[in-house]
Amino acid sequence: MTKQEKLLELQKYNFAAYDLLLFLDTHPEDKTGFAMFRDMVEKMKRLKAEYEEQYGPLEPYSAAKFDTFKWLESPWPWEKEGNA
Amino acid sequence: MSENNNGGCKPSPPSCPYPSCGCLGYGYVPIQQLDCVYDIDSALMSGTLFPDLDLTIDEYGSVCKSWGGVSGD
Repeated sequence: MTKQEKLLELQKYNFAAYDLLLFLDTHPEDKTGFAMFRDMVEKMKRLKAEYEEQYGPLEPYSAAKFDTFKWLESPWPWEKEGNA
Repeated sequence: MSENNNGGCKPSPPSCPYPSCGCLGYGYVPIQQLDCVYDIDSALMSGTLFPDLDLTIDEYGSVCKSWGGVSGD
């Protein structure tokens, strides 16, 4: 998976998890919805960790995971590189 | 319409069973049922995980009517 593909995959899980969160706001007792939510968040977290390990922090607080402060190094996740 | 005898008139209950049709002038949103969901690729593309919410504004009337709702037109 390329960097852009991995970012898109992450966006998909993040979007799905957020939509389930909105659903759970009005259906806090829904067990199926909650199980789906947990599953989405699990995958999202795993993909995010993989991405950050390979390409650096996705958000400022993730910069704390590294030995040096990388957040200012470009490109930022939302910046399109020349060939992307 | 019940007889109006100077304040003795009592509001009559809605003809259809509450809450399926709600009260006069009282907004009512049916509770969402979690049926099937889109896979994550189509969810991001269509802007929702839930097929029953995947409606354009002009589809709302006709689609809801076909599901038994009352459309505005």
